[in-house]
Amino acid sequence: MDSESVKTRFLTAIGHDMRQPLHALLLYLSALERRVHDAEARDVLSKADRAAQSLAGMIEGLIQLARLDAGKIDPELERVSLQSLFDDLLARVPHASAEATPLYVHSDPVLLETIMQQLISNAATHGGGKAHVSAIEKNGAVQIEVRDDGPGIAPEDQERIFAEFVRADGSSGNGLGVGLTIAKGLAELMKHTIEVRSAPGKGATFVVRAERA
Amino acid sequence: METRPLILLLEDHCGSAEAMQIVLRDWGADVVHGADADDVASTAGANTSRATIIITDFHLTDTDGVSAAKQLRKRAPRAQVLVLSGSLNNDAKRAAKSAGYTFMHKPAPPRDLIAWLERNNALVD
Repeated sequence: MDSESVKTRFLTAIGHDMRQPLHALLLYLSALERRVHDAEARDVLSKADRAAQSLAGMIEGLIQLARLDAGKIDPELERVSLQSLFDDLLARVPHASAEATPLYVHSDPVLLETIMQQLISNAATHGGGKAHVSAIEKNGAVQIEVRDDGPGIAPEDQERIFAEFVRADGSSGNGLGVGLTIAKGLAELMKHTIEVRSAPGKGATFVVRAERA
Repeated sequence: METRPLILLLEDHCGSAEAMQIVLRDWGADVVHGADADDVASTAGANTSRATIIITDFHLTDTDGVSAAKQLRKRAPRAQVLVLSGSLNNDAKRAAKSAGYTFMHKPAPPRDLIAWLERNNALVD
């Protein structure tokens, strides 16, 4: 077995086995928070909760990356309503807004939702906190855009940010720097493209281009 | 006297089941827990029909959570369904969506869980 296969099997195994106790841990922390009224203790609990959620996000990213590397994701393309997708996303993601759209695309609804979640999460973490989602038709294709008002991305970093374990700001903060790698990998599996338009100080717009349906 | 909402919980992982019951009871619900639909229906008895929420793991020992929820909804037709899964593939999400149920990955942030409960309990009321 080559080292890539070993890595994939290892990440998949630990990812799966870690999810159940991590799920329980987050619930126990939440239950404990309700029972603790001392301000200092609540602050400690809040930090523990954020650390556990950060760990959960990292494990999720590693699992997705391992599955992409192993070629274990098979897209099932169908006609997807972007309005339904936006509605689902807004119901679950508090820091996003969306424009109404009548457009449909040929895509896998589950994978497209994962891409959008990664882009919105990226906007929340590195793009100033808020993401705005919209869709337009251009040259026969549909462009789904996720815009943020953050610090923007320097031209020399705009290709690099899609590589594994890379953050444009070089920070060692939350996350592993795999979200955009996953979004790009999933987009390519469905013959979509993904790119970023940005300038320092002017926010960033991530564009997913898909065939209109 | 105000009646607390009844939640039917299907979960065969002990830690997740115990932690989930604490959070759901804190939220203000009565909870009946079991490892499958028969187990839950047997414990809830005649109360099964007043359940307004079903929360199920997707990978149960002898069945899947979507099939189990469909079975329970025959006796609790008002119940909204949430499917949770730590599955590595997208089968659980696809099955939940095609049944019209809500899906969340494990680990699910408790605040997302509570927000979903608030929305769906209001729907039933």
